[in-house]
Amino acid sequence: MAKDHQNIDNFFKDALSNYTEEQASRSVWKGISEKLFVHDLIHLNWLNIPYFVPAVLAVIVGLIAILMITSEPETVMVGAEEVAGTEEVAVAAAVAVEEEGGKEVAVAGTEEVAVAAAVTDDSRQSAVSSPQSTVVIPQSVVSNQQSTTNNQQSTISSRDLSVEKSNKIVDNKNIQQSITQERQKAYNPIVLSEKSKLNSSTNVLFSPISYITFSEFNTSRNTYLQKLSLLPNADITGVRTTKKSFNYYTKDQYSVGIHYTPEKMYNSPDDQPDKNIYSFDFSLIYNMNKYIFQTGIGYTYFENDHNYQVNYNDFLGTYEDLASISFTFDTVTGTPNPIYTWTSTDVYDTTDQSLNSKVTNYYSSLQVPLLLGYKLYEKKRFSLFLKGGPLVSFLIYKNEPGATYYSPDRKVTSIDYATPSRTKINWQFQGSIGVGYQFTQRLSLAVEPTIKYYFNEVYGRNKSADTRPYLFGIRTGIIYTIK
Amino acid sequence: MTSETSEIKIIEDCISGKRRAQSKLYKKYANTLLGICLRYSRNKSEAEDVLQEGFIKIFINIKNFRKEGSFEGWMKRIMVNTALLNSRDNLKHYFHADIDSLEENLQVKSEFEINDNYSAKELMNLVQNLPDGYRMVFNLYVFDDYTHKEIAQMLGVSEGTSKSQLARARKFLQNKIFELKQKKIDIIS
Repeated sequence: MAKDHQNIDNFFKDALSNYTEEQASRSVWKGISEKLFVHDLIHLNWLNIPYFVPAVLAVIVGLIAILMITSEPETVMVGAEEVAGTEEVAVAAAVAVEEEGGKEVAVAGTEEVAVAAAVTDDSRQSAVSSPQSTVVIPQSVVSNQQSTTNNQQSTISSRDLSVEKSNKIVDNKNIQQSITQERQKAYNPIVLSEKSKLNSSTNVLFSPISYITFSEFNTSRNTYLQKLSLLPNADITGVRTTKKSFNYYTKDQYSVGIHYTPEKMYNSPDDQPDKNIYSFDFSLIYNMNKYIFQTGIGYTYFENDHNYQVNYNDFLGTYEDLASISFTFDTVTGTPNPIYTWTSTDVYDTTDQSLNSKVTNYYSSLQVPLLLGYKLYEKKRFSLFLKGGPLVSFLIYKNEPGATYYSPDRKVTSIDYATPSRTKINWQFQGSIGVGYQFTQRLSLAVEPTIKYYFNEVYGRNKSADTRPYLFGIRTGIIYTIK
Repeated sequence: MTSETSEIKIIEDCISGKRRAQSKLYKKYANTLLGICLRYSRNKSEAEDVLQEGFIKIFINIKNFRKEGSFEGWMKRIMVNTALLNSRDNLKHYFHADIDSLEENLQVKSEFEINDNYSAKELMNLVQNLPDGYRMVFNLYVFDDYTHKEIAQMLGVSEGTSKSQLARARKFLQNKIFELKQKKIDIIS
């Protein structure tokens, strides 16, 4: 009976132990990959993805850009009682004409006000003044020809207004008083905000019969200036507000920036797997027309897994070896007593065996770039630029823990330790093509796909192959313009 | 690159979550592991469900694999455990429901004799047609070398139950082989 049992067991075991006569249908792998995909999504540690942060920033910038472009006000023509512009209220001003016949036009407001105007309902007076300045409208802006040929409306471009300090035309104190009075009388104060002042230009639209122009010789400039005077019945037909484009890099700008750059190293030495590298840097940027000069300091952190091989012989056992025999003599019985001294000897297999494992090394370095850039394209808030130049890297910290293994019963014969030391100073070339987006006049975002190429090997070990790694990364950061 | 090195590379890539490596590993071992799943299941459809669930566990837990033992052995253990878990809800019924109805099959009709006239597929069908409880114990004891004590712990039954289930499984298979033999003789004659 027992034999039967054994026979049955072995019979089935022999026949079915390695049974591979049936193949799994394709739907099995499909189901596996689908479930793994869902599992990966659920368990993904998003913050560990090196490109996640820049990607999110890029999406945010894109959304903001779309919102701003779609919400940007087009040229708006409004009637005399309507105001085109932004929602914010900052400065109010009135237009008035001096009693003497309205020879002067002054803009009321602070020193930075571009233009602001209002219509006085019944006043025969209007004044446009600045507390410290008098606004003079150059010849290019308003001309007699323009006012006569354009029967419907003429435009004063406030963007082109130039401010000339002059005490000869209007007395500041009188203007202030006039402004105060006219503000109280203002029928429809036109309101401009700090934002509209920076981001837009405002055109005040006059009726063709509301003003005349004349020339006056300016002694300080030694030239004639075309001036505008409003007639006593001056009437403003509307205000047009248009967005003003930004200059991402304007002339002689100094900026500072903070950047984050996740990178991936390629073409690393054959026993070094491609690894992610993370950098933070603080940069100083000088813009001169279309040229960009950049330097700064950066901190880089990276890890490397290194394989090593421990060669060993297996422990087989121990034998006792008789090292010596000594005798003592028993004086009572008269017989010698032998004393054996044994030594224990371990026996190992002569066949070499090996154990493969790996260790993670940690490094930090400081990087100093010196980059020259050129602005290729600029429109509205966006700009496109190229940058390139040398970068020197100083290794400031390294943690190379070395091989760890546990083999109490083995005799380690050698360790092929493949962990090379990194060079302390390394020269690289850094090049990038970047896109800038201006949030405000001073604050902007830059996203730069970057490549770095090592001029010398990163590892100090002499290798037969001259391996020079290169890195791809996306440098993303915020730039603040100081001046 | 040796096959061992290649497998280590595939395992490391699977740990990194690379789908291509997972596909390679699947293709390499799917048929072998399906054989195990078939033994523990009633039919191929059920076996494929177990195979799918088992491979997902393998890929999720492959980072926990210690490269000290056999990788294939590790995967086989996962498949066996998955097969057991797959039918765990029904296990308690396995050991109570089918005894009476199977009494007639437990009378040994013939002495067992080794015969090579049976294909592996025919034998697999016999195993699959074992009552669920018998099949689990028979597989664990005969193919996967577990002891009755271990089987009892795994299935939540007593050692005695495990032994009796194994004995019944053997008798059942012996009779089924006899019937198969008779059927073949009838066909020939």
